[in-house]
Amino acid sequence: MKLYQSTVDTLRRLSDSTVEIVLTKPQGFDFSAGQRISCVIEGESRDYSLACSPADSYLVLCVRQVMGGKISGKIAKSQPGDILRFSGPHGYFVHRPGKSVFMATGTGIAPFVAFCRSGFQADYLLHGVRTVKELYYRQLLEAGAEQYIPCCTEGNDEDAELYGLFHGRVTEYLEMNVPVGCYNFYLCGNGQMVRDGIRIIDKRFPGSKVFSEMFFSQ
Amino acid sequence: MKIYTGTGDGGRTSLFSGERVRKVDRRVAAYGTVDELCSFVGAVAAQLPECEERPLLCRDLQDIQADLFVVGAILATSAGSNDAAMLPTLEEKQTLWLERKIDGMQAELDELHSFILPGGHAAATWSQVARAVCRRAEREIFSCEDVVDETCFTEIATYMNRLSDYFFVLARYLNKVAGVAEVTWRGSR
Repeated sequence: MKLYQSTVDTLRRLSDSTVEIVLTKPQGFDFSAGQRISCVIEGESRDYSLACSPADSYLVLCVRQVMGGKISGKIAKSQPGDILRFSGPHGYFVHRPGKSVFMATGTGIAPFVAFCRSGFQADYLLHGVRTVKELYYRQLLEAGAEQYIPCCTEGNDEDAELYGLFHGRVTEYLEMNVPVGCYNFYLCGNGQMVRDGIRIIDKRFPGSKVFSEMFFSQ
Repeated sequence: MKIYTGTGDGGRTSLFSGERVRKVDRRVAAYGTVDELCSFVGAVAAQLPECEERPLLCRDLQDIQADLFVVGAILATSAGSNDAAMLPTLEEKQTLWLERKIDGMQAELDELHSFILPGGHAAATWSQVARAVCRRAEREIFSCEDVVDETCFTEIATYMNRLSDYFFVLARYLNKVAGVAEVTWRGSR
């Protein structure tokens, strides 16, 4: 498999555990918004969705440093000038025309950031995190959806009102608040959200289409 | 990475083009059989006899497995969806390639004057299993004619028809290179 080589340009801390890494874009590397790359470090690889538009002249990763995660730790601690090797692009998690609902937990927001940066608008964009501090890319996402719904599982209802967010899981919001209809659902995040989301879609949104990317904590 | 997702526990699955369908849907049955066939092709490759032709045959079988992945993806994509554009296609050249392979092996074999019983060398036996599973896949693919892109359907139907012939000839060829005599059918006991 062909390996590309990028140089780390800048790093920006998005939250206590998450960093945005801007990389140089290797010549000849093309992708579609929503696709991922597989970063290779010391013979091991981890997949990360690109959080940039194919039209951008750089690449962007959104990396959460997983407790005990060897690869994520190394990437998150990289410095400007460091070299990163990767294969790709991989996957078919790309935007299709039609009414859409984007659903993400945590850094699963990355492909939707790519969608928004590429001009793809969602009818609903639900981003699930634990605390309000983890609601990165909020301005961009607000502009990229008719209805942007940040969902926090921690905190209380007063906090939720103060920060303009839904207190609960994205799947609870989906089940209670998204009007019944036919949508293209895009789900990216942890396994529990994807499983629960698909169960709700099967029950409440018959005739809809589902595209999902699931990631696992390592 | 964990292999299980649990998203299909309720008996439904997503097609490549996004539709949610029951796991007993005819498309799921058809690409499931193609997957089964792909596994049997692996069994043929794993049992190939030690011979000069082994590396080439092994590569041919891997190429066929790659083609079968494409067949499965086409079956999982509804007619009229935009997703077909994302898929690799199966073209006439792949069927013509099979025909060349069949003709090449056939030229080395004695003419058949009666039915032969599946069996002989292990690889030849797996090839006969692959032939029979390929025929079942073909029948199931025809049950999907109205839900798969018309052009793609024609290509995969033709390819699968030729592929079962390939496995029949391959079984005979493998017995020959392995020095195992064919057993002909002598009528019922």
